[in-house]
Amino acid sequence: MTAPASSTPLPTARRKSPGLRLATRPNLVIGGALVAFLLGIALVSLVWTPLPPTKMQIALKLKAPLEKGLFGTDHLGRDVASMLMAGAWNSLSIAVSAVALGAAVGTALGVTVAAKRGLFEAVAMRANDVIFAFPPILSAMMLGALMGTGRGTAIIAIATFMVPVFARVTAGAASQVWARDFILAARSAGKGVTRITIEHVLPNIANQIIVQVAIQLGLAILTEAGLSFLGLGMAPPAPTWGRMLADSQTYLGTAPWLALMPGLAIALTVFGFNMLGDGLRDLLDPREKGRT
Amino acid sequence: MSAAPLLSVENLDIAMRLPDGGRLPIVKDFSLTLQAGDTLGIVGESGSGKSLLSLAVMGLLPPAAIASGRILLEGRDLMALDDDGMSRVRGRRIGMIFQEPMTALNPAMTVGDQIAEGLVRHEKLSWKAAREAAVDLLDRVRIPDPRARAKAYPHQMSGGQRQRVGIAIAVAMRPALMIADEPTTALDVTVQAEVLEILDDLCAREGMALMLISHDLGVIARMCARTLVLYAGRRMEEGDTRGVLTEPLNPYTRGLLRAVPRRRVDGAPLDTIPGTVPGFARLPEGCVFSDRCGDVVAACRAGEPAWTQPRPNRGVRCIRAQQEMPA
Amino acid sequence: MTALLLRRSASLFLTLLAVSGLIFLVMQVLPGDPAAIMLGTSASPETLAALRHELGLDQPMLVRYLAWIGGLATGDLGTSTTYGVPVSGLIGERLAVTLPLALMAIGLSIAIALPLGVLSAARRNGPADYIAGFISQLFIAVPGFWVGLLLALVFAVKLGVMPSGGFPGWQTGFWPALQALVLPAIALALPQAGVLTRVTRSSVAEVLGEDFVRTARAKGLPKRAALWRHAVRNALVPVVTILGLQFTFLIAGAVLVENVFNLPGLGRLAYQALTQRDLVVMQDVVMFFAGLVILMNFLVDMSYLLLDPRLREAGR
Repeated sequence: MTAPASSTPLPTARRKSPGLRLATRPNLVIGGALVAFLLGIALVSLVWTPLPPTKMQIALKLKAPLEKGLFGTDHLGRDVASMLMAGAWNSLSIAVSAVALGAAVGTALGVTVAAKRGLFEAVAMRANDVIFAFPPILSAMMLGALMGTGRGTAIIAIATFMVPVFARVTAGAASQVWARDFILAARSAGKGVTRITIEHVLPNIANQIIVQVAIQLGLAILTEAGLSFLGLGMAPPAPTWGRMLADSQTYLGTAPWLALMPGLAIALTVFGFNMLGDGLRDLLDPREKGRT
Repeated sequence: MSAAPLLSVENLDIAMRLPDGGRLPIVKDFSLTLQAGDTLGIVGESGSGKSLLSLAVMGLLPPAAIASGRILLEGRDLMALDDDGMSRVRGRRIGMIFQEPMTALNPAMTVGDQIAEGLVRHEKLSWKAAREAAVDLLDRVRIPDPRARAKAYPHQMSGGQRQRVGIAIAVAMRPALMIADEPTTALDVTVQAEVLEILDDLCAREGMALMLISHDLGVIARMCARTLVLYAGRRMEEGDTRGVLTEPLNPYTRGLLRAVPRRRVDGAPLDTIPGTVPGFARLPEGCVFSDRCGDVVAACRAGEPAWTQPRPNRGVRCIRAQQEMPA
Repeated sequence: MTALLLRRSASLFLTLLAVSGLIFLVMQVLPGDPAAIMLGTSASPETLAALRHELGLDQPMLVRYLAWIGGLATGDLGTSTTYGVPVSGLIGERLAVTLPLALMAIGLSIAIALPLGVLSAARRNGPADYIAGFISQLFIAVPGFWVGLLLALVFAVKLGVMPSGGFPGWQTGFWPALQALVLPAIALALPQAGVLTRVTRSSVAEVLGEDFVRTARAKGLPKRAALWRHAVRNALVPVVTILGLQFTFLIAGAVLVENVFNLPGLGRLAYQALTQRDLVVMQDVVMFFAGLVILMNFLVDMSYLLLDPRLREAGR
């Protein structure tokens, strides 16, 4: 009788219409809208930008916003707005590839750990700890020193770091599924471990994976920006938000807008994915609500 | 009655705020008076709102609860006090013992410090003096080797010992009123008796009034001079314990008494009250007990019966109570 | 407790060994011939052979690995090919920048996150909570190195009250050196503070619902005292855990921020090693960073024993 309020069955909340349910989830709406907007920009940049993003017009260099183009021009006279659009595609494509790769490998590892347990679990989880000790920037530097920098190196470095993250989440979630009754039923029906994993475990942990994907996408965008800031991302002249920031440093006093816009673009994208992740978590995984 | 009673609760209503904006009434039309040194038992099944009642007196209702009415301690309206004012009442004038000794103590603080803490804050004792007082209090709740045990953490103690620490915390500042909310429910039967004895002893020696909340009529019969029966947030019956137990006026009280396990010569099965306590959102029309009452008549469903006082010091909420009264 | 310490130390040692093995594998075995990478494609066979001999690449793999970790244990990390000085000296020199920077950032992030998170939890769903939630989301979303750029823009370029970069060295005096680290430390701290605020909020909010907080209130502690003396202390375990896990990101952030502010720290050393293809320095610095992350998580593990007395008996 410590909590009379909770021990008393309260009237069940009236079922809300889908529209109303969405309206009461501002995270999901704001995050979803932001991500959709940026995705749209990235896709449009493939077929149209105000000017070719790599076109240099030295005569028009370092023009302020609206003086030339929406967001001005950089030190080589390139149109900042066009570069931002193309940068959106470059950032998102790297982040999405890296997270997809990391999620696939990590999830495979995680569900295998949950199915096998024992020594395999001990070894795999220790290996996770080891990998987790390498920030993506460090592994990108190591890989970059060996095989050169570029899109592939960036994707592999980010994905490597994502593997233990996804492995941990899926191993935890999958172990819980394995403990449930319907797995026992499936086992007694003679289904093998692989089939049970595919037919029963994966569908039951899909929600957690989706939530994690959204959250890690934000992190991947941040990391990609850091890598390309250091010159460890896509090779020039492909515009990236990170390199735009690196280039802006020299002109901080004379052309501060060059430092402002790419940073805002990064922050907005990360913010969008984080909000989306939070919203999805509330929607799909209510047990985790409020946890970070 | 010379001065104001120690505690007087007048027309207390408590409702819970619902997520959809509505309000769910839990406690309705609740009043009681308690003189200094009195012992009052409040009995009710789980979900009857009795814990909410004790938290209301402590001013510790959960944020979702809305209370109206008056709670007067020594003539002062507690509900009008702000949190700082209420903090000076809690512990010093009213002590409280909680149900779960396993969770009611801070796991990261020694029990001695948890007892001493209130003394440091309110009695302005130094930590050294307060810790000394804590050792003394542990001794009084009959913890063996109190000086060493004062340095123990809660997880190093048994449930019964922890509940004694809980009592020591509650009596540390010699409050005038002690509220005990199911103090022995979570304990083994053998430990229950000892904890009750300690509580009884301390109340008698310090002249503390006791408000004991329990679902267990046996505990209340042993500890309290007066008994109040609560059902679905309503007072059903009140009177001196002997009277309530031997001549119950409310059919609900009779049901409770029949459900108390005791030695039976005839070996007849234990009676139970049919059904379960209804959720507060699904209370029946009229008398809240009407859907489970064996003596129900049509009039019971017509409206909620008023609180009546058929005799001095005796109250009941039942339209049939007059008929049930022996002449 | 001693047994627990021993067990954890053994596990720490094994993890460090595994990490060193992985780094060695990636840096020395995968590329085939590290000397070829260091010299580039235009090197003559003679210089290549000379470098191979100098690096000990003509030795068997296992001998090279053992020599390296033996050196790690004794502090002999080899000689930098570009600087021509012992790597251990280089790391020590650079650590004098990175370590104070990291400590300042951690301190600052705690100083921001703890009050903000606790306030947020104490006023759950109130305006203060929403504002704190927005601030923490903002901190998480902005890249630290961009914050560094903006800080440099405002405080160095526009206002001229702070140095925009570079490091005068501790020998020039405590204050000028410290001043050079202030803006970088803020840039490094904000993203950390964002994550930490969220964890603090949810952890404190959870503890605030515990029975013992109500007991504390029942003995007359005002809200504030119950919050800080009882709730926060018990909410610290998840906070410290995240602090440990975030250390990885702190190091990544340090690499970037040091480059923004042109600070001669370890992160910058790693970056220079990359651009100059100095694999000896690279390998040692990566090992140093990874070791630091692992050590940090070990310390976090140990700190649980201080925070939660229940765990102290577990290993006894």
